[in-house]
Amino acid sequence: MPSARKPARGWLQRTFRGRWQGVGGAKIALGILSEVLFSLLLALLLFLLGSVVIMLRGVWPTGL
Amino acid sequence: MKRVLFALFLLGLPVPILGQPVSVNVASLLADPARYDGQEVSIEAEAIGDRLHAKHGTWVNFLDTTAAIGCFFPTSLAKDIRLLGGYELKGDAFRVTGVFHAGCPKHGGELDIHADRLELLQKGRPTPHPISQAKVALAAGLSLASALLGFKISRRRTKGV
Amino acid sequence: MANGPVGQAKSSAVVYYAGWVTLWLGLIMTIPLLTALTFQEWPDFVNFWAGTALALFVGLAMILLTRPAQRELSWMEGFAASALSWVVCMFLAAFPYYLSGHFGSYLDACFDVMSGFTTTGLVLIQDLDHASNALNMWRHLLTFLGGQGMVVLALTLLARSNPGAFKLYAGEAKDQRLLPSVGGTALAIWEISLVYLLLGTLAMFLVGLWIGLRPVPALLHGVWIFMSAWSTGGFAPNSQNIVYYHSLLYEAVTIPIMIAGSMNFGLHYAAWTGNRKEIFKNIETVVFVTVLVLTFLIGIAAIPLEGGLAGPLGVFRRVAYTFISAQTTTGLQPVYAPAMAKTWGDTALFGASLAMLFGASASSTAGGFKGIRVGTLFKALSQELKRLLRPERAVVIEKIHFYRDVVLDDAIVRSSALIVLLYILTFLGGVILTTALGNPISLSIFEVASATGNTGLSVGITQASEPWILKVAFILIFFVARMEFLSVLVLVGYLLGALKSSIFSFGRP
Repeated sequence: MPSARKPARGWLQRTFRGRWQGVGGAKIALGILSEVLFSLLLALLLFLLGSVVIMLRGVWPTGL
Repeated sequence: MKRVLFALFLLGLPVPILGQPVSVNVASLLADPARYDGQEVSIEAEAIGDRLHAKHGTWVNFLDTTAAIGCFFPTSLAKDIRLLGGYELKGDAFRVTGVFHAGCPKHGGELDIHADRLELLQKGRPTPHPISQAKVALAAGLSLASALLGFKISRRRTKGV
Repeated sequence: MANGPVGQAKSSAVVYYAGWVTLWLGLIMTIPLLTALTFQEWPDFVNFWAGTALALFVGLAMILLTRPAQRELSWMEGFAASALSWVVCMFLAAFPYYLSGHFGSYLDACFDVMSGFTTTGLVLIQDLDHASNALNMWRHLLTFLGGQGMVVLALTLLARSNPGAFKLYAGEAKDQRLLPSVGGTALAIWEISLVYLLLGTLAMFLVGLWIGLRPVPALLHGVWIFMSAWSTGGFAPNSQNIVYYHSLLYEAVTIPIMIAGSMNFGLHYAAWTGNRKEIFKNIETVVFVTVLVLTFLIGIAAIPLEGGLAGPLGVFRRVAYTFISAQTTTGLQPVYAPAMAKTWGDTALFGASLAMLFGASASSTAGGFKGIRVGTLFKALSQELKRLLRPERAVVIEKIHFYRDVVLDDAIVRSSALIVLLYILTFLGGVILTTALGNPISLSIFEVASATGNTGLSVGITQASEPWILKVAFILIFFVARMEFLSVLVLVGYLLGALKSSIFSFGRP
């Protein structure tokens, strides 16, 4: 068994071998970050649009 | 005016008599929020889940036989709620009285009750969870059967069929 | 096409592969079993023990009675095996549900399983607020597994033994190949999901602690709500769904999870391997944003304000959240169902129905028509208009950006149009049945759109007391919509074929 002689590697590295060749943790982190950023921007857009439309309808309910 | 009131009475609509909270079940609050908006209501329900922090108070969810609703309490009042229901136990049952909001201005338009009175109706108690002998027998039988099949398959594999 | 010697042998391989998926289900059921053990929920321990044993028994029997294909699996077989796996798994996963006593009937239990598997989120479960941790673990696990694809899960094993395994995978409506090999693609999907599972659960756990959940419930709720949002399922451990938490922050954290969950796995792969611009260029993202903004505008322009939306924050938490939940086909619901039915008004409800029908991305966990089809059809429409307006000889070429620029051809347009047509027909059929059973039209449209888009938002039509025929119809709608029709049609063809061959075989074995 060759694996017996090799130093133990983390399961993460093992599973990611091949499929994520040359993709570092930083790249993945940036990928996730941009996905999250995209969602938050979209949510912000809806927040602003919603506020504008409600204001245009001339009703500004109480509260914040 | 009298006629209107009489008509409302006939329709069974709750006409709030001065100082008297309307006694309702949660489902009717959810089904027609506008009708009760801003009124003082009281529900008879079981405290469930967790106490949840908020600015200037505590949320506790209440479940009656029809549905559940969030009630907002001054934190000092929420302390009177000792047992909250879940799998292990049935929570304390209270008559909760407070102002109902169809879209609460303080809480992002939530449909809630801002409670100011609590009346304990029944203390919470553990729910018995008896183990059914029949189910144990069923589970054991099925395990045995699948073990047999597993054995058969392993023999088929070794025979190379 | 399949060219097996006889029909018998063909259906044998179909059952064989479905047997393996069933076996997997049995193994997965040990997770709620261990949950019950951890929390000493003994009755549910016994229920899940029985459930695991039954699933293993059925899976093993299916494998024992059949043989694997001796050649590469045909498309037909792959599709049929995929669909058959789902049906068998539905009945088996419902067994511990039924034993738990939280369901009115076995049909109700099957309804909730299929709703979970297909990441829909409509429920018939009763007394959810007193359900055990084990039961909730199973509910949310089902929706998580169903979202990634149960067959995808089993594939990681199967792919080594049969080169035709991609056909099983495509049968589950995930035809995006991230990597040359199917096994690699299946694993990559799981890896993406698991990385998000860790991050998402951590975030939900921390926010849970912040809003006052005790540590253990905070962790459990965190895992469950993550699974629900990521797989665009919409289950929650309490009957009040996301309202239970009374927290803007808790809701806010679910938003990126829902949106990321509704993205094509190909898009995640692209973004994670450095092609981050793809997020903003991809046709599916463009369609997603466009449909979301337009339907939200319909909703917010039409929603009656007397109900009290309480300012911009209220508008965001109740209306925008609902539309994000609808468009990502998640179904986490920030408004109580009966209140929504009563106060939203027909137009706003219809806007949300449209969002649910259009849905999010293909090869994601989301439902609906899917962005790529909607994008294709609109491009085709614009191509047709240009053709009319320009000189007859002019050649009009339209391209869509789907990881690379693809020239629109008639075959793509045709297949997109056919699938969308099938969705619309399913939806219409559902609406006719629901209204015929006495429900108002606008509520019926909403509820059936929710089922067709595998969303799970409800205006209260779905409840344990509804007629059984509606439950059966909804189970079928969830199923065909999730599988995108083809594999279910193939399975029906197979069953009919098997029936025919057994009739004509005159007692031959």
